[in-house]
Amino acid sequence: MTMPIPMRLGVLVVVAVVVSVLWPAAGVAHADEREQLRERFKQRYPTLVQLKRNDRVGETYRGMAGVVRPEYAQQRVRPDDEQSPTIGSFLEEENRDRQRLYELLAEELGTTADRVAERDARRRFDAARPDEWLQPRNGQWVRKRDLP
Amino acid sequence: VTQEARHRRPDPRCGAATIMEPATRATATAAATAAVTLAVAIALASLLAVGGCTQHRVEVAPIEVRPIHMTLDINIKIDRELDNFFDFEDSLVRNGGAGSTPAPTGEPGGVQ
Repeated sequence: MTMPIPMRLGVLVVVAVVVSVLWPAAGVAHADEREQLRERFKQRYPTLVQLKRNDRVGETYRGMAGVVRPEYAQQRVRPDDEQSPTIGSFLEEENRDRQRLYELLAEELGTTADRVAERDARRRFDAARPDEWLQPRNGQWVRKRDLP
Repeated sequence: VTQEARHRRPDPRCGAATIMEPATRATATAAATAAVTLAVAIALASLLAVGGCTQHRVEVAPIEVRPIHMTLDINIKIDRELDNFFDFEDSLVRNGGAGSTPAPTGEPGGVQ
């Protein structure tokens, strides 16, 4: 049952070659995915900011965007355009990409997606304007200027 | 009662040592020496015990500090990655690009 030593060495060499080929390929794939995510965030960003300024959307402590009131999820992103997506589906797409970004960064930095999400929430809370809506850990939506 | 016997009779106004036999006096001296030795041993043991506690505290201190440094380190790395990734946000807001898309207006819960 025991493998002869030359054969063992051969197996090791094959494994090393496969790893050395696949490892950088995985890195390139991640870099590509990050760039695609960044481009989608960039395209959505103006709409996201506008929805925040119109008091429809805010940032949560979990690093996700959310509707300030549940009924807003059914409204259109552009009220005069019936073809535009609902705020709910717009946020679903935004949050799906955020979750993927958190997973990629966590894998890269050797930490958890939850920790990355928590740091991003902190960053977004800091960057928010005083009249923007935020949802801290107690689950209540408040304007930033009213945070304790 | 002879003169000798009268001398040996215990005098109620004096302590027993005044009339102690030489053998009894040796036993008392040995007991006192043992007591002093015991006291010195207890004092030395206490000093050693106190010294041991102090050394133990010095060993624990670095273990408490290390995780804090590691947590700060990873948080700084995450913040830097996020800042780099979302660096377009500032420029878009500054250039007015964020206000170009119309969206619903009104206070939360208000009539559209």
